[in-house]
Amino acid sequence: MAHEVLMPQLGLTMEEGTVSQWIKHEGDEVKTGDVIVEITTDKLTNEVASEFDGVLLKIVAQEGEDIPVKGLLAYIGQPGEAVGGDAPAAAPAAPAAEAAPAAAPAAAAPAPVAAANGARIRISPLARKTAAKLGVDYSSIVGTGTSGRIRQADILAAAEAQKNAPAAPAAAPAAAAPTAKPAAKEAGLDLMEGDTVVKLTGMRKVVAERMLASHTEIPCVTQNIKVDVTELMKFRKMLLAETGRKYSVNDLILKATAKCLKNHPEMRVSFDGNRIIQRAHVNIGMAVALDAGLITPVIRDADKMGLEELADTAKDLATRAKENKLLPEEYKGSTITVTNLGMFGIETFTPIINQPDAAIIGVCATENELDLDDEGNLIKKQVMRLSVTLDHRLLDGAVVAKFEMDLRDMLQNPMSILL
Amino acid sequence: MATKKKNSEEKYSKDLLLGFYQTMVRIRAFEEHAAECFTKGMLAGNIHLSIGQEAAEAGAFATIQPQDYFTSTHRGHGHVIARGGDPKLAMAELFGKRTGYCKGKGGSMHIADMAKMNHLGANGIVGAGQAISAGSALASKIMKDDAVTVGCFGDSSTNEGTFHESLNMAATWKLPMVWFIENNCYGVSTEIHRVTNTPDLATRAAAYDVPFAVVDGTDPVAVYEAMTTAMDHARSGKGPYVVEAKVYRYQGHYCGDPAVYRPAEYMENALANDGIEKLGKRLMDMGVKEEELEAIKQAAQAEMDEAVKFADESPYPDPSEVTDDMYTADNERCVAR
Amino acid sequence: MSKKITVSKAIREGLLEEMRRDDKMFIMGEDMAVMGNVFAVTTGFLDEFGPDRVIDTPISEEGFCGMAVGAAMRGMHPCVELMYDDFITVCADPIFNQAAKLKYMSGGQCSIPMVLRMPMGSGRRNAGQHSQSLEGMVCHFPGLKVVAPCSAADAKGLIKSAMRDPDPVVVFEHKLLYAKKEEIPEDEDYLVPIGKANVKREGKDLTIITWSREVNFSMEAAEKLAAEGIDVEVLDLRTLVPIDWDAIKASVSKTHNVIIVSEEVKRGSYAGEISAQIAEELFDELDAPVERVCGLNIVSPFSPVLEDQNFPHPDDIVKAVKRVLNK
Repeated sequence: MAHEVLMPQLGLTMEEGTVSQWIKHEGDEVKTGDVIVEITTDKLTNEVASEFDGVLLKIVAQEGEDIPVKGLLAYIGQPGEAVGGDAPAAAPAAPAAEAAPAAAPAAAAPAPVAAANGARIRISPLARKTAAKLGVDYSSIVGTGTSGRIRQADILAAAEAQKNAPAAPAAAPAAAAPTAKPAAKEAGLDLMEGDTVVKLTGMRKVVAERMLASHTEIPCVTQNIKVDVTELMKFRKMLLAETGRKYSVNDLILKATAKCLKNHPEMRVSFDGNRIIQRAHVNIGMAVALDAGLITPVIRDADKMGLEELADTAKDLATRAKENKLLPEEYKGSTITVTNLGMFGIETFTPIINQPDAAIIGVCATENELDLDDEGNLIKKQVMRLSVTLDHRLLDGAVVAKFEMDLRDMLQNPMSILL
Repeated sequence: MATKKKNSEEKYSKDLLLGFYQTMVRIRAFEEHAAECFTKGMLAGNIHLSIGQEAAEAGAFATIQPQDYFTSTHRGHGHVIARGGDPKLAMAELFGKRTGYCKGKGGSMHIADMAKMNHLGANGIVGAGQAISAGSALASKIMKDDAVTVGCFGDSSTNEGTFHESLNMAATWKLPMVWFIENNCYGVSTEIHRVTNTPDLATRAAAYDVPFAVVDGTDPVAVYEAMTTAMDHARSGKGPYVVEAKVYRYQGHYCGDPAVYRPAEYMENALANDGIEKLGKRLMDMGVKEEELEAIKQAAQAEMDEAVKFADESPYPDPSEVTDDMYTADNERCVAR
Repeated sequence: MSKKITVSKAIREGLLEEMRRDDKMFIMGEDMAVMGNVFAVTTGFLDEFGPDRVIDTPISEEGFCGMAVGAAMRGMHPCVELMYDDFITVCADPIFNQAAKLKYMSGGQCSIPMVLRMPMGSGRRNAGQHSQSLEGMVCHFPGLKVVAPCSAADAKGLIKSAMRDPDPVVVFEHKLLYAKKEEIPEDEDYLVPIGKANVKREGKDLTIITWSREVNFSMEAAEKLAAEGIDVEVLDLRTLVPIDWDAIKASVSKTHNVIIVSEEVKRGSYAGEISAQIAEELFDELDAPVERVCGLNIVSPFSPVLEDQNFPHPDDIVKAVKRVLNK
């Protein structure tokens, strides 16, 4: 019997992954430890290595397909060996519910809505109800109803087979896998000449889901404040002269934000249903734009870092984010996020909150502005706007305005950032 | 004209004529109150008023005995008042209130009172009452009771098939039935002679060998006389009789309809022949004092004020009553699915 | 004790017994008195009850149906026959706007205890205006009760219940059942309650919900299927309004597969309504989609060869059952 290659669980919250690329192809020889497939998941690309020696007999999940955790990707075995899909009746892939880890939902076994190959499963309502009751995974059952619809009899047979099967295969408790989210409905838009269709996958899909959730759940307000950064720019040059290191404006803003946040615990809150969580740490999320979407690595305890350490950390995280090398823990746990579009000349914008943060600080472009000094002389200064979006369930405009004023004042008196 | 002339109506008592007068004034007062409530937005739906038809209704209903039955139409408030119905319950029905004749389930067009008035219902379908009145007359014939059924309807429904089907059967089976047509010349906006080839409508009865009369509907006495003949005929087992009363419809089809489709002469003639005015003069000629007539009017106003107050203060039906009364037996199961 | 008589005789017996029992009852319709009805349902009635209670009408369906409503409001119990249910279109108002509605619109002041008997159905080569099955149309109107017996015993028991019911009851009588001879109980007080379905045949694999003549076809189909090891249940609704939901629920919850068989035009049929109710309320009991097995969406044709295409035969039912069970 061939070995199954299953979608690994990469991080606690992972529900499904997208097969981004098969490194090995059907018929290729593989050794334990060889990378056979790349999986994009939860903002990252991971390599999956073989746990067996043999030949990649059959690729079940094609590139671009979303497969739930523990879903079947491929078979590895000896040349000529039969694979599961060839003899479904003899080897029902319905694994025992008792193999479920403690995290498995206690109630009715979640019913997969998608077959291993990602297609919608045709199953009668009665069969679905019965499967839930008996804890039978039907994602790979071939139904005996019209159009292959799974009927109650098929579920009962699978349950029977499950009971009679010796020990369930060690690796495959698909029934325990978290329910895959139902795919967003397609409106069936008409295609016009020249249009192409790209499947919503991987990071784009995650970004889409998270942005939608944030934008629909949070009653948000964006407040813009103008900051005179003339002094800050001079301060940057002074730092370059004194330390020989070229700090970015963003580094300085991160440092100021960290310091300011420490003084404003009311800004470090998270909304959780009927609870408000007061965050102890100043963990600053830092939005990093990638070709495939965006990711927000987190600078932990940023308030405890000096400027140099903070700048190093930010640089490291950004670099590794771009190389898809962040660990899942590294993009979790922020309590506020800073996102910067200043380098693109954006004057103001309305950033979307990175849940479960309560606010996000959008940094805009530095611009020249004319003003009059106290004597009425025309002077040139540099200004930059901060666009802060707040979760109005938790924060009110005035509260955030005070925070914004403090942050502005700090940036206008850059020495105070370091002091 | 100061000289009193002896004329035919004096063979009737002053009391009878005063009774007509009172009924006519009460009908008009009810309708004017209803119109006011409608204009103020106190009523739902729409209402069709009998103003201009009071004389015919007062005269006709004075011939209908307690054991008799009648059917009515969408323009049926006057029939209820003429039959001695309670204006409070009628007004409450117009308001859609729980205390109305039909518990607020019928409204203006469908007032019925089976128990007290033998009122088989006003009907929103033009022509429906003709067959129903014939059916009631059939029941009387089978049960051999002494009741005559009066089917009240307007000019336009004489063009419905049920007019001819039902009159033919009633005539053939000699049913105790009188049909009372109030011809106000308009079916909504359509003048009856634009769509009907006979000058009078009751003459159609001749096609079924049914006797008929055509009378001035602004004169309650003329209607009373014709209807008395008709009722006697029907009650004596000779079969149906048709009476057509020529009346005016002062309002448009419904309350608020400006009736721009009508020539000005229609209302000029109507007002020149106003039944209440004419009867008032006649009564004064018979020696009734103006104050007496005024008192009748005041009493009618007060009565209808009271009716509006009752209707306005009455409760609406409870929403839970919405499925009640669909069926007499097994109602819940019948409406469930 | 039982005896074997035709369905039309059974209806006659039911009417006769009720006419004798209740002098408020009278019969009205075309060719009901002197001729005693084209299907001999009222032969001899005129002699026994006289012309006041057994009335030959002119061909004035709207008129005499409306008169029946008026008489019923007065406490009479008219039993009206439309020679063919197709004719209901010329007397729709008295049935749908009057009989069905006057109780409600008058705030419950009156009942309309009338019975409307309507021969219906295909198979007599009568073409498009004398062959329809209009259950869907009639059941649409709240205020009416609707029954459709398939056997002599049910026809008699239901007509008697209908005559005693205080509400308007429409009785669909299939023309091709009239001549069928069947056992019926001799008991004079034999009644079939309105609103009670009959499990004609028990089975475990699939429920056939049906009524009227298609019950018989469904029973034939069930026998054929049994020979192939498919065990179907045949549920004869007998009453369409109020529908016996308890019986449907019990059967569907047992077999989990359903077809609904009627002679109606499929589109807008009462079969479709039942299917929708099952989908709404018994979805989780279903192991396959509910299938309607009905007539085509066409005018009933005249030529026998064509007409036979237009109502379900036992073999059509067998095929439908196998389709649903994928056998």
